[in-house]
Order: sequence, then structure tokens, then C-alpha cells
Amino acid sequence: MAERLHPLSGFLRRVRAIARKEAIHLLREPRTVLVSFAQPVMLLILYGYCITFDLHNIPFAVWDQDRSEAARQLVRPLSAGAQSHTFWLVGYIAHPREIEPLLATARARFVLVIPRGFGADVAAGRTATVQALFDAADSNTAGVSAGYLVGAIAAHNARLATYAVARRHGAHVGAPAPAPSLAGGDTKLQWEPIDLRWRVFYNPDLASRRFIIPGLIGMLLTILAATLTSTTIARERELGSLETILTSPVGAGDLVIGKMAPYVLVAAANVVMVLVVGGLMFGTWARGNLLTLASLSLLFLLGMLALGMLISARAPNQQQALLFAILATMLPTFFLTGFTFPRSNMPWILQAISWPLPATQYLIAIRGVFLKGIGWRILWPQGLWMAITTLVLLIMATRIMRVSLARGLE
Amino acid sequence: MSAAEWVVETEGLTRRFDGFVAVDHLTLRVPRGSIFGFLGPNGSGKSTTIRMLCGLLKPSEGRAVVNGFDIERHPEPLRQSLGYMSQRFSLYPDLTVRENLEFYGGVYDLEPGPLAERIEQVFDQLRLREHGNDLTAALPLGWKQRVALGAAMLHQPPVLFLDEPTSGVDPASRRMFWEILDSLAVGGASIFVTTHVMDEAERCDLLGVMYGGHLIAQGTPAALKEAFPGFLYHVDAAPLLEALEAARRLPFVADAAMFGDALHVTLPADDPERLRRELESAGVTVRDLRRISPTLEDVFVQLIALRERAAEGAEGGGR
Repeated sequence: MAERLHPLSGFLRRVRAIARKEAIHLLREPRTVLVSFAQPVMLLILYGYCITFDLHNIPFAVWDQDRSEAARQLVRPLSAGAQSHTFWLVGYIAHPREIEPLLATARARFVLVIPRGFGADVAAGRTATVQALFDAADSNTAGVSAGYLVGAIAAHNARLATYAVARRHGAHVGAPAPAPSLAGGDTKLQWEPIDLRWRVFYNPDLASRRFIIPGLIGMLLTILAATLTSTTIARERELGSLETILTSPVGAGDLVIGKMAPYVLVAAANVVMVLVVGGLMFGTWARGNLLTLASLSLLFLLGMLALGMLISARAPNQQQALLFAILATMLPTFFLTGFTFPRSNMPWILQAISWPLPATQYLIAIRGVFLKGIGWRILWPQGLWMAITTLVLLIMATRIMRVSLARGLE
Repeated sequence: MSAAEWVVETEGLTRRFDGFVAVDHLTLRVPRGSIFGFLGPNGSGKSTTIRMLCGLLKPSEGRAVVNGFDIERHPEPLRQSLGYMSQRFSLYPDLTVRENLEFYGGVYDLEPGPLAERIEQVFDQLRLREHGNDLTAALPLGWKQRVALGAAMLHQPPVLFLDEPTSGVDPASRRMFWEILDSLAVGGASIFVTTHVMDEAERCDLLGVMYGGHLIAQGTPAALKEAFPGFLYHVDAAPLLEALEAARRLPFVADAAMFGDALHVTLPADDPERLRRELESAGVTVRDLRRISPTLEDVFVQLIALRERAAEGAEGGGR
């Protein structure tokens, strides 16, 4: 019989035996691991290149009823060839009949209508009105275009005001300044006194892909970890090995820890890969300390692996386990954690529900490290919360495993 | 006998599944160091009993002590003291023989050094070395069964529970398997094995026959044959099927069964000439009629047939 040593050494030997066996399974069937690596690369490409939340070259048309210099000054900075590539002037129209077909065929996202008398109003210092008609079939694009347009018109207003002030003070009178860049940066008007400067922090080119990469890591860890471990017990049950294991001294805790161990490495390698591939593809690298990023990620990862084990303990077969793991992780991560939709826009009840999700806290933490370069000094509440949830999930996984193993043998 | 001499001891052990009683107040004593053969038709409660004794199923009633440990009160030491080979194949096909053994050794807390030595011993004892580094999936069934036995005995448990270990295995592998069991028993292990194969039952030190959740007979193979009720005759007759039907119709025949190209007929009273007369008057030619000593198969078939008849009688009487 085996020599009986300290109980902990028995636990470690059993865990090592289980972890080693799981690792061999992974190596002998590399498809699982390869798929786990292919998935994030595909997501990176999708989110990085296809699904960008930024807009460029928004096509628009102008119906200039006024045909004044003031009207042309309003349109000029919007049209292509100006500093910004935000808008793209597809052409002028002369009749309201032409508006609808343009919008319907999406040749223009909006039509800017400059009414008769616009130039006169501007010259007289009265408030001049322009109208913009949007194609809001895609409300997101319409909303963003409208936002950009409002910004552009505000900039033009600022120019006009400056011009007026300057003229009143008898200064040099020239043409209004070129349009400021919409995407930010220092915008110096050619002459003072109003000097509009604006700057975007953390994501200077306002690129959503910069924001997406840490989010992708969060989503990846959640889905990957839970799905990798979710089928493991059902597989042993189907194979018949579970019964034999259960006549051995192996307990629920040994199984949970032992089976999670190799997947920690797989998931960690995945994170490194997303960081490197994302960096090479888009030139966006983490600003913060990599150790901080690694420690926060590990905390979160352990929790998600435990979640997978928990699902595994309850699932009657591999298919159901996988399906449940995807449902339980993908949907909340996608919709509730702030990955796609900012939590601040959610009704308070959804904000309250989504706050305690470890993925929400992880997303806050990893965006903090990746984009702002902040560390544990600021992110300790997130770290603490993830540590708590991970511990709870581990305890729950072990308990449910114990109950389910005792019952699953019936 | 003192308790230490029994390796398995049950009292009123019962297991119910949704209104059906799989094991019904089983009281059983298995002496240490023996090969105990557990016989019975499918569904008679053999596997359920083994699964309770291994701690895989909780008894609904009664108690059981295995190797001195109460199965409900001391599950941890119980687990260290038994090895279990389930009916279902429990090895990992994508692991090599050695890796499978290393895994099972690890889960039984064996340290790496002693485990490696132990695996070498098991390789020699079970003649597994030749395919030690092959994937288990690629092995013939007879080899797989030996690897599974190796996994169950790595930690040198005093009790081995083997649930139909040789089902589907060819005769040569089966013989090798039983030679190994014999050597283990000589080495002091107690082996609790279920089988449907009568020449395997012959090799057991002690047999228990289960039927409908009850232990209906127990004893050494010789004692069971000795206790055969009635007199067994080998009847070579033609046409055989008509002879069988005729024999079964006779009121003084306890049992008649086809056995190869002849019949085995059990008579409660030793009157072979009456049997010959009656068969011939039914138009059957009797070529040979001689008394034989019962094989285990005769004993087994007879025991089950008696039970079935008793059950049918009870049902018929109830109506």
C-alpha cells in the first residue's frame, strides 16, 4: 500500500496525476487547442477590420438653395480633400425629388439643405438655419454621422464668431480659417482670440480597435475558459472512466483543480497571442505593466475555468455542457459587461445586474491597464472583486461536483 | 471465525431503484485470500452489489464491511483498500499503457519513484511490457483487459472487485487472465469476480449464485455440484427436438435441457428405465442413457430453473 504521508502531499500527487493526464489528452488531440487559437485570430480580424465603430468618408449630398459664398464656406471644410476624411461630398442636387433616391440607395447617408437666405442671415449676424436629412435605417451610423456633423457645424460657428469679433475690432479681415480636424489634435485657428483646442485622451486616434483589443481578451478568456473545461466531466462519464476514478481516493476538489490546470496554460497562451497578433496587426500595444495585466488576467481566468467546471459537473452530456457554457458566457459578456454597449447607457437595473459579473470588472481592469497604463494602485477594487468571485466559483464548482458525482453514480 | 477472516461481509444489504429491488437483503461472507465467483443471470443484482461494495452506490438498507471498513462510515480507507475493474472499459484510449497506469497510480497517491518500480512489476506480472508504450486504443481487447486489471491492482489493494473482466475476450487471453488472478490470490489478495463463463466459475474457490436480488446458493464448486437436487442423465436420442419436448412433458422429470447434441435430464428419483420407456413410447429412439455427474452449468441452470418455476407457481397461485 502507498505510504501515508501528509494529506497535502496526497492531494498534490492526485492533482498532478489528473493535470498530467489532461495535458496528454490535449497534446494527443491538438485540434481543441488549435481551434482555441484560431477563434481569437478570427475575432481580431473581424473586429479590427470589419466591425469598426468609427466612420470614415460618410457620403453626403448638398441641396444648396442659397448658392452664396457663405453656403460654400460651410460645405468646403466638410468635403473630401479637406483635412479630415470624415465626410465625403458626393454631389450637389437641385431638387427635393432627388433627396429620397439618394438616401434610399445609400449613395448618401445624409443630405444637407441650405435654405435660401442663409448667406444673408450670416452676414446680418442672425441665426441661420440649415437642415440635415439622415438615412437612419442604420441608426448607429446615422447617430454617429449626426454627431460628427453637429461637431463640424459647431466648428464652423466658432470660425464665424471669431471672424465677426475680429472684424469688429478692426483686425485683419481675411477668409475664415480652414476647418479643424474632427478627429482631434490641436486645432489652431489662423488668428486668435478664440483658440479651440481639444484633445482625446488614451485613444488619440479615437480608433475603436484600440478599445476592442482589451475587450476581445476579456471576451476570449470568458468564452474560451468556460467552454474548454465544460465538457471534461461529461467526457469521462461517457467514456466510463469516471466510475473507476470514483472508486479511488480522488475527491471533487482534486478533480476541479487537476482538470483546470492545463487549461490555464492554454488560455494564458491565447492571451499572449492576442496581445502580440493584435499589436502586430494594428500597432496597438498595452500601455500598462504586463505583470499587472497577467495577474489580473490569471485571477479572472481561474474564475472562468471554475465556471466551466461547475457547468461540467451538472451537464448530462458533452453537447449540453458546451451549449450551456456558450450561452452562460457569450450572451452576458457580449451584452452586459460593456464589451459592445457602454454600461453607462444601460438602465440602472441592468447596470446593477452587470456590475458584479467578473467579466465586467475584468473589462474595466484590462482596459485600464491596456489603454491607460494604470496599475494595481487604482485597479485593486477590481482585482479584489475578481479574487472573491473566483474563490466563490471554485468553492461552488467543488461542491456541485461532489454532489453531482455522488448522484451521478446512481 | 473472527471478522478479520472475512474480506467482505454484508448483512441485509438492500438496494432499491424506483420501486424495483435490485439487491434484496443480501447476507454474504467472503473469506480473505480467496477467489469468490459471483454468478447469476443478467439483472440478478451482481453489479449492483459490487457497486455498493466499492462505494459507488449507497445501500438503501443494511450494511457491508469490506476489508474491515464499513462502506458507509469509512469510505476513505475503503477506497485505498480496493481495486475495481468495471464492466465498462475505463482506460483512456488516447493514453499509452504506461500513461494509463501512471495516471491510476497517481490518483491512488503513489509517489513517482515507487510508482515507476511498481509499474515495472505489473508489466512483468501481467506480461504488458511488449506494448507498454503503445496507445491503449490500438491494443486487442485481451490486452486492454489486462491493462485495466493492472490499473486496478497498482496500489496493491487487499481486495479486487472485477465485474465481468473477461467478457468478449478470446479463450487464450481468458486463460492468461485467470492465471494472473490465481497468482494474485496466491499472493494473498482477495478477488471478487463476476462471470457468466462456467469454466471460469470452476476456477473459483467459492461461488455465490444470485437470482432476483437474492443469494440463492453458496459454496465451493464441488459442494454446489454435490448438492445438485436429483439425478442427472445424459440422453442421446433421435429426433432430438421431439425427445426434448417429450421429456419436458413427463411429470416425473424435474428438468430437461439441450446440451450439445444430447439432452441433460434431471430426475428427482433414480428411475432411468421409466424415462427410457416413456420416451420410446412417445416415438423417440433412445440410443444412449447414462447417469453423469452434473457440471457447474447444470447446477446453475437447475438453480435458476427451480427459482423461475417457483416464481411462476407463486404468480399462478396468486391469480
